[in-house]
Amino acid sequence: MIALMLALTFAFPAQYEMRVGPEGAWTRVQSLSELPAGTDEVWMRGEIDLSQLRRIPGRPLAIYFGGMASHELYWDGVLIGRGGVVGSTKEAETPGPIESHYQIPDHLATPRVHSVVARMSSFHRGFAPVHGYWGVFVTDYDSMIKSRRWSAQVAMIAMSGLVITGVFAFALFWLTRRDRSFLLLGTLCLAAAALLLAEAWRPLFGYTYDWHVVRMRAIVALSWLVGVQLVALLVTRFPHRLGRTVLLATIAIAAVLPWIPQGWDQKSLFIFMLCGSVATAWTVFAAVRRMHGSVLALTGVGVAMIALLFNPWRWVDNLLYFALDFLFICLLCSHALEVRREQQEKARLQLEIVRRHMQPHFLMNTLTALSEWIEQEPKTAVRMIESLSEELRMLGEMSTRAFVTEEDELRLCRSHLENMSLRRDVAYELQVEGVDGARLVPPAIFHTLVENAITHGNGERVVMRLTSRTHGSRTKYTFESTRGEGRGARGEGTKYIEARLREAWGSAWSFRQSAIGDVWRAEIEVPA
Amino acid sequence: MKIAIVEDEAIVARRLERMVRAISGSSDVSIAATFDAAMALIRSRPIDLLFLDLNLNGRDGFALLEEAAAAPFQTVVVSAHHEQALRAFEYGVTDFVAKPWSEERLRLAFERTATREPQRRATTIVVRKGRELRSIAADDIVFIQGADDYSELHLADGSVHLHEKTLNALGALLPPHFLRVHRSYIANLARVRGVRASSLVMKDDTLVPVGRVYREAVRAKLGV
Repeated sequence: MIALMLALTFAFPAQYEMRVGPEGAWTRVQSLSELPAGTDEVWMRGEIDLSQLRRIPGRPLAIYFGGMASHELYWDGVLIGRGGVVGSTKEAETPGPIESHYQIPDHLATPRVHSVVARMSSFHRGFAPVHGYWGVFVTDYDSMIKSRRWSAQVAMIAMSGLVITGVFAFALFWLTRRDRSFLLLGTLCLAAAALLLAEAWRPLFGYTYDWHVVRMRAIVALSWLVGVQLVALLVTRFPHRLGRTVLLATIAIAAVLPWIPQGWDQKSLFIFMLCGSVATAWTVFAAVRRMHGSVLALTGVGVAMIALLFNPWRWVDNLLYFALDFLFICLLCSHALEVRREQQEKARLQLEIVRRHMQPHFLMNTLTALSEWIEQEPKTAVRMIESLSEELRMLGEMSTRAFVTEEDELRLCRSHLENMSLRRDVAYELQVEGVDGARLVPPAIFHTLVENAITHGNGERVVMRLTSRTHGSRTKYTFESTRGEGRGARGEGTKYIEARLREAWGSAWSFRQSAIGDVWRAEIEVPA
Repeated sequence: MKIAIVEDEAIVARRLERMVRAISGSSDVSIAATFDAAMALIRSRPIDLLFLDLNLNGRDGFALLEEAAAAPFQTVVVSAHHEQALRAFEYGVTDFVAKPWSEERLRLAFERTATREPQRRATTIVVRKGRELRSIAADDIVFIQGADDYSELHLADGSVHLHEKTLNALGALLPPHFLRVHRSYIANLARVRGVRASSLVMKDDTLVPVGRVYREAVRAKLGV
């Protein structure tokens, strides 16, 4: 039915003949693909039957001619269009447009069989095509314009999605500052938009056929860029120690792949098959590891991959763009979820510092000790109130910050120790070595170590030692204290320190705790 | 009166000790500041009254509470964590004093221990079996028989467990439907099937004797 309607709206030549040179013999060819891709002067002729064509009264007919050749087009022996200048040498030829359409004069568009003859030359291709690119058909002028506009419109709709996603990803990168995967998503979207623009260049703007090879090379290069960036993004987003190897291997193989098949479309397709498979496998791997956002990312990658396998040839023409739109929206959502999780984590950490001092164990024991001092030694009670206020004031100030100076952090520790000394009647001492005071650290991490040492330490005198050493680009803090009861479990304090380090330095830190004889040692290594 | 205090915060312990001495007039007050010392103190009887903090150097003190619950003496929990009160009472502590406390509040705790009137009744009884502690739901108890300075818990499954607390002490901790029916017996009225002239027939067909002086009270309580 569709074929019938198509046949009624469009008329194609029933058969073609061709000859090389003005004196050559005519030979039959089955389809336009068989036309020689040579560069010499080529003649093509065919017959188009307009008797079945559905005409809309008052509308003129048009003939479409697409090909990598300069051409002169004759309708019933009358020259009706010319693209470039056909010549018998490269110098004599001027390249014509890659596709053109011409109005068929009304008096020649009668409902019967007509002859179409094209005289062509193509000295400016710059490559040897497998089949070449050819197309001839007749339809009414308005449909011609619409059908040519359609592919451009599809491309523009898909492209707007890519550009918006890309710009938004860049904005998120600047706002979150350090999340590289947003930057990658942004460049990926723009590369995909560039690919789309390269694909849509022909219907959008047209060009002379000598530019075709340039456009095709750009498409393959951009396909490579989109494919490997997709893998890079997923590897960055869902990190694993194998990530680097997988990415480098994909980049290398994807760079070699385009040399294998002959056709331009196949080259892109091979790249997308490879990168799509790697991306899918990597996202499945992330989902298996239950990483945040992996299911959403898998949905996007999976849908794109199904579309690719479902119809590989339409993929390159237009499925690709909608699949990429969908994929990028999924990735953006997955990123946004991640950002929200980080924000929540940040808020949780802020709250945790403050809450730590609202916890009944801290608050009620402090108040009980305070009651005792008030009744027994009012002057000591006032000292305790002073140190407690100092500590609470500093905690309040620090809780909202991502970094504080070592000096501030140590001041906080000392006021906590004074406060605890008064509360528990224990002489706490913090020895500090090699800490210059100006470096930045996340708030309350030493405070947490000190607090843990107090909770678990026994005796009338507890000595803690904090040393700092910088080697090259790394700074190492070592905190030692007497090992007390109940040590060893991964407590709230440990989780707090890890969360703060993660927030401050991503994954570029280490935190180890160990017991050596009677000493509890915590080692934190961070970028200097 | 031998009083033990388990508290890891020195000043808090000092305050508690000072007040305990003043209120009780006792000079025999010992203090344990660590979990292990506390366990040793609780196990080294005799103690008459224990003041117990449930959070020692970051360790959960409920293991200490179970140990204390199986012991003959009364326990008062002194804690910063008010939300632990219900669970503590389930184990049969006599009082729960929240930090910080006043001297008046501590006096009230002493009154409750003196009159054996806990603020809330226990729902769990902890018994010692050799080295092991075992928690028994009060509802599983059919009746309790008193011996000299210990008690025998008779459970619905037929098992019998010894408890170091006296019949009087257990009777004070358990909910009101555990009624004294005899000089040497407490019966769980929720498990009574019938009433005879001088005994109760329990649901498992065991007979619990009813003393002459308790008869009226038992009948009134059962509504027969």
